[in-house]
Amino acid sequence: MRPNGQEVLRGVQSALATYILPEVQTAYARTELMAMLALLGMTAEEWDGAAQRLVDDNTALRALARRAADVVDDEALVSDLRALAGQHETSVRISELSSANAALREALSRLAPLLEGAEAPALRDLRAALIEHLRADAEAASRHLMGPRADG
Amino acid sequence: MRAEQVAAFLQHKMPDASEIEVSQLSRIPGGASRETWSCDATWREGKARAGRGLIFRRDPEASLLETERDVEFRVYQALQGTGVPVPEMFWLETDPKWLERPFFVMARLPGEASPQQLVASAFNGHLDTIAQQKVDVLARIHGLDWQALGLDFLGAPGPDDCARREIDRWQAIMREQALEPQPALELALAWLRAHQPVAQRVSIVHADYRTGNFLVEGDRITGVLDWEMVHLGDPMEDVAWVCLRSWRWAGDARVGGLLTREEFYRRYEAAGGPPVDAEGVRFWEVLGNLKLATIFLTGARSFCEGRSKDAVFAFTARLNPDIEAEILRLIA
Repeated sequence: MRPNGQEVLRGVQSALATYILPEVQTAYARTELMAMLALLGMTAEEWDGAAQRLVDDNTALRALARRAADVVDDEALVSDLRALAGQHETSVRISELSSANAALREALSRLAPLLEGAEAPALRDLRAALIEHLRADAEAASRHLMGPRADG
Repeated sequence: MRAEQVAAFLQHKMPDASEIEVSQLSRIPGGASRETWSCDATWREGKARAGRGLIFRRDPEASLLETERDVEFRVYQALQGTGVPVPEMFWLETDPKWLERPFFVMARLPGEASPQQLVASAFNGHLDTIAQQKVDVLARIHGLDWQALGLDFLGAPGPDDCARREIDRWQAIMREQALEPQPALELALAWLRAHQPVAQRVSIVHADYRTGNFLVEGDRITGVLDWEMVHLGDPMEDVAWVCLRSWRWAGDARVGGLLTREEFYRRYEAAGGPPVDAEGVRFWEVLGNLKLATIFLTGARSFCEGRSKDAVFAFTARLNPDIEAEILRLIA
């Protein structure tokens, strides 16, 4: 259906900026409205790629979980990691993809104290790979929402 | 908040005043844990008409951060006459009958705080002077004798315990407030526990000292604001906070939009601050980013649970991926 969700959000953003913002007088209300305008723009930007981004992230996190299960010495965590690594998407609903994403991120969070300061090369490499993925994901999300940064 | 409510409170506090009038009452944007309202108050004292600008800091319905209003009030009071520019404090009121929620009242100082406006105007040609004052004030805060000022109530950690105390504090808040798992922040916590520095001295730590939390009028800083996270600890915590990437308002590498990191360190030491320990600053920069992300997570929870209608809380939560990327760069 047209206008689709993205077009509606952009249209509302534009209408607010054109007709409402000039009428708002107080600094506090203007700040709130500016935040709303930015949020509408960000949400519109996310709308089309949200499911694909979660699918891609879940795939990468499952690979990390599989790798971690082979090198970590914690029976309960290994069991959880193996179970999560073996799962597949059964829906492209954002809520279900997000739920799977949260479960993977929760299990990988439990790795943090095991990886910090570890001497074994496999654990050190795993920490580096986890950081690299999370950083790339965070940078992509940030760039997507806020644009590139120039401040080093 | 309504002008009649404010006038009724002022009448209660100034029983000898008459014909109290409150005008220009408006809420000021910003403030992590308390609403900030400004107004002009005038009244009659005998035959003379008196007046002044007032700031009300009121507890919010929900905030980015839960802090103790009386701590902030007492610290503002203790800093009067120390050379650290702070507003005069008038009243701390906990009875909700006046303005629905507790609040305190202080004098309104002249000046502009918005970092975007300040940087856009390049501080009206006074950029270097303002930068120097910012550094001087920070070194002065760190050089104050907090025992002589009666600030023992803040609770002094030992030099080897400053880092652990802040890790514990922010870990607890982060885990309580986060709506989703936070692997980047958990990696940061593990790294922080393994890299705790020992403070060279225990000092007053403003804990939110940055461009945007001081007022500038012309070529001078007229007031340092937002002491809601103040505590005793490692002065490098403030040095690192000044350097956070989130405050590089000029869009380049200058810290706080003002000066290079190297120049900031040099001037801070020249102003009497303790020697800057680069590894210590790195630790506190990781912790500062974790703290900032946690503050935004707290706002996100308030927003998602409907305890706050403040759209800014939803907006700031969207800044967290950028903060996480910075944390992961620092601990890689």
